Amino acid sequence: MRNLLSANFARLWRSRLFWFMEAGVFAWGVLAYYLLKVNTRNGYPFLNGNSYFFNEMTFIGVTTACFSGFFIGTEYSDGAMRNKLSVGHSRMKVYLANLVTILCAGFAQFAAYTLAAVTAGTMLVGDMVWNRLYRPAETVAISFLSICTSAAIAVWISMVVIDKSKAVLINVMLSILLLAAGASALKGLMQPEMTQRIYISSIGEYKYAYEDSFSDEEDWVIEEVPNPKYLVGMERKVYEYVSAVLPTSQALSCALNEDDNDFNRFSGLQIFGTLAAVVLISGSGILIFRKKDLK
Amino acid sequence: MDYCLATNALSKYYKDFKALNSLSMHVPKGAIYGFVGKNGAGKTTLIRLICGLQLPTSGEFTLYGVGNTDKRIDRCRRRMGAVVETPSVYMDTTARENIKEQYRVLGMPSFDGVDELLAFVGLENTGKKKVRNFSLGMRQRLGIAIALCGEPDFLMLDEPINGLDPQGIIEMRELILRLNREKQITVLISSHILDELSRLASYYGFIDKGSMVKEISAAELEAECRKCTRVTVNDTKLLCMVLDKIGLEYKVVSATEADIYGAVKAADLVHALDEAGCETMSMHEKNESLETYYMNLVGGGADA
Repeated sequence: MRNLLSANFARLWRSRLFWFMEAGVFAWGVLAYYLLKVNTRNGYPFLNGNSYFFNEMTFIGVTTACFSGFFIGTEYSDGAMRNKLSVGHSRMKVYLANLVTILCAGFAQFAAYTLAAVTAGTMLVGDMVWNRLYRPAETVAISFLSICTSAAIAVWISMVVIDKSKAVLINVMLSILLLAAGASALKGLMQPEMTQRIYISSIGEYKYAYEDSFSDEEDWVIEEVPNPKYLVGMERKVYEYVSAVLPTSQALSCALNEDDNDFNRFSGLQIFGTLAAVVLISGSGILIFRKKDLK
Repeated sequence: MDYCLATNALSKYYKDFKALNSLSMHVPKGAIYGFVGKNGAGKTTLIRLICGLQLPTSGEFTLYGVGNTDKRIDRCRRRMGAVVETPSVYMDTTARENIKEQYRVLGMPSFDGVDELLAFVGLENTGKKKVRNFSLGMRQRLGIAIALCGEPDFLMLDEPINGLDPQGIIEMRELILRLNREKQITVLISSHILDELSRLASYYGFIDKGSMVKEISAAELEAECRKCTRVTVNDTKLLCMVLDKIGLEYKVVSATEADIYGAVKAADLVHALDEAGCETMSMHEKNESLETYYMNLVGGGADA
């Protein structure tokens, strides 16, 4: 396995796509803090530090999936997979070596963005980079878990779908779908338990605070009431379990993390769910790959 | 005889299609084994099974005496190199980088042998040229160089001369002969280009519809294909007596047929047979090539 990793990392180091993505992620980080500086200069308050510092988590699943499709797909399309198997490397080791490589590529993207956030952020907004962060250590940990699950899914597809272009396409489509599903799950979980209901006396109607904006001329009264969109019981449990295994849900929660809209995201369920998902996805991938007829 | 590779009733089915059907073959150590068959006969499938790219449906094979279900088979594969169909090379890197990559896969302690290997296959001057810009012949040679990285004792080449120009074919032939003679590497070459195989192989295996039709050494094949005169008579005992008397070399093929080697004066022979009371039914010259031998074996058909 050490030999396979050595070969994979040497290839990763030479990969233009890898360095292009590193440069792109770094540039994104610089741009995010530049826009933040422009916004603060224009009077917008800088409240949520995580949405800048962990902004790459919103798209890291898509870029990891895309990279995995190209990196592993090339092994199939150029036939290099045969060179590994025909000299006696077991299929499980080949699979795991590729998983570790794609994982490291994902972590490297995270590191590139973080480097950009630290350097460009410090230069452009100073200490506010750190002051506005919310539970950074836990957010980093959840980010890493999210990258692990994203990489496991991407490697599964790349190793099972032999056609490189199909693998890339499926990877990208699925990662976008997962992003939408993650956003939906997170939206449900992040609903506050209480919300404000507003009674507009001029028209005799109630409206919830999240529904509309109200003009000052209207005669209205604010009431604190339970949020009908707040998930409870079994429905909340389902959302929590789905969120625990969906890497995109975790990734978005890291990027959007705010003190006042918190749910129990750093729970044991999240950690267990992610690890179970990685083991199950990779285990099934190895089983399929071991039985697969290769050309 | 020691065998590098032996298969016993090896079968591989793809749904209902039998790509290999109880194939039994024996590749002697030190041989250049010509694996002959039509397109779709099962040559590449066999190589894929040996390389571990696919699993057999039934049957077994041994590599250096180690069975395919034995855990040690992976270690045995370290002693083997293969070029399956197209050369397995990264297109967007140089020849040197490709070889270094395989060195890493094999866990070689240093890159000391890279230059020697490039020189051996004649790619020492390719410099920074990307493999995608190589000719087919150059890629084939690079594929062989990669297969040679682990200093294997056994090399399997799947259609190595397909698509090569005449110069490329000559270079490939010389390379294979050098590998066999200088490095004592056993080589299995699958091909349907019989003329080229006949210049290389010391053993042949003829495969048709996934089954081995015949295995034969080059010496035996040469004897089988030797120029001769096929005589059909009513009594081969009398024929033998006459031929012994004349002093001609011969081989009885059946109760009524014999092959006579060397120059035969037809009129004299017929006269002698007539005097001995043996009736001559027919007499014709026979000069089999590997091609006609193969066609006779598999019962004709195109593509071989």
